[in-house]
Amino acid sequence: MKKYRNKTLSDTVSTVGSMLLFLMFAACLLMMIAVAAGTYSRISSNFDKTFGSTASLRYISNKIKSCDSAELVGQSGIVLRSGSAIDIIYFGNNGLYEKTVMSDAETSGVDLSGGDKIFELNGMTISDLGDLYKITVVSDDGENSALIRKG
Amino acid sequence: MHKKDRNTLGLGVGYVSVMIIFAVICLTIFAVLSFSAASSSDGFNGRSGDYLKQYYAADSAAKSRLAALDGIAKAAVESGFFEDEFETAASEQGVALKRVMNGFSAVWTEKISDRQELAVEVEFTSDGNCEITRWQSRTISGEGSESHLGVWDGSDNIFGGR
Amino acid sequence: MSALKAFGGGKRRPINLFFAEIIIALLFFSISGAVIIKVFASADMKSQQSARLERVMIIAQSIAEAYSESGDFNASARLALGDVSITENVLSVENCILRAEESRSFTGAGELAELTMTFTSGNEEIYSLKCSAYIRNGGEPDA
Repeated sequence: MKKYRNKTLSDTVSTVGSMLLFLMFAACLLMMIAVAAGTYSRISSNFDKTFGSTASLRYISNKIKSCDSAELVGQSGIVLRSGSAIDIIYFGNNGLYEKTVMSDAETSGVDLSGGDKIFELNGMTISDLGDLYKITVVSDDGENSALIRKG
Repeated sequence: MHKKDRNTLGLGVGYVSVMIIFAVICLTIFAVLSFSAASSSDGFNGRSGDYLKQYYAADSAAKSRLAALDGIAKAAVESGFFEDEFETAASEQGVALKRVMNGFSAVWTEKISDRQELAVEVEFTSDGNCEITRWQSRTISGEGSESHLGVWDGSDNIFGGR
Repeated sequence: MSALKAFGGGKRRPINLFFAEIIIALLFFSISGAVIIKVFASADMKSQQSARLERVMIIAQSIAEAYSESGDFNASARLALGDVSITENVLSVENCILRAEESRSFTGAGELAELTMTFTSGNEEIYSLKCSAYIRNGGEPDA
């Protein structure tokens, strides 16, 4: 009878011990999965952040390089003329917008609205430095600037 | 006897293996996703970097040709027979010449990539001046076709048919 | 027989099996975990290098654009990067070193300047860009 009682106690202890070991094991695995998910989301968001600001700078630069003439509209808009089309790129409502109109459709004043959102940004300014334009974009990543010759 | 065995069991065999396999699959998926995100970013940057190099290589080639043409123009002005001298010497440089007021307009392109080129137009006048009128990157269009943006031109026929 | 006892013999068989399984699982996990951590580390490094390369390319482009107009590296770098200290065409930017090499050749009517920018981190080259400027009669080209 005594032997039987002792055996039950040792079984209970080993069961609880193995249970605890199992739970610890499960907790460690879950923690590792959470860390892995965190690393993936950090890499992914880093890419999104840097992509947003540098890709928008590159996009505007390439547009200026390939247009016939460029003209600033205020501090956050630029009108690019290429043949019979006018491309208007401007910042508004937390994003970079672009719209294309025919040259005869817009003769007086430029309407900085109604474009399609192309990039998510916190701010954009274009300043005239004589022979160059300085484009500055503000995103979650911070501020980035690029210089570009006038088209 | 059988009942007693079950009481001493505690945790069944296999749970840990299943958990480990699940965890390894999860970690592998995250690792592969991270690596592919980093690789795609790296590939995108590599292409951008290559394009930048190609663009400035074409830009440098265009400037070398501009320098050569400007030298020719200067020599032609100094010779006193600008038009004849410049036309003869400049045509050897592989540029197309157009007559403009008091001089010539030299037009040429430099290849940036298989799809893009740098189009340059510079006016040289008999008084020794030179003015860049075009320094523009553009998409290489096929023979006879003209690339244009597909925007509405205001006409009623929006489908392009008759 | 003794091996059978250790892993499966007697009444304590299920517990022994549990421990045997956990040891094998841990062994498997440590091997696959090592591989996975290596993949994560390389992905993280690649992502950081990629972000730095993007910023470096924007800087290189800005300097090249300014240089195309002025033909002066120091002025172009200051215009692109603000007030930075430049010592013999070498400056520190974005945790890497930018070395610039200029060569000038006189043509009939002006000067053709070539600039090669090389960004390095340690001994590793990150990016290099070659651009040029044509300065007419010692002044700016007419544009």
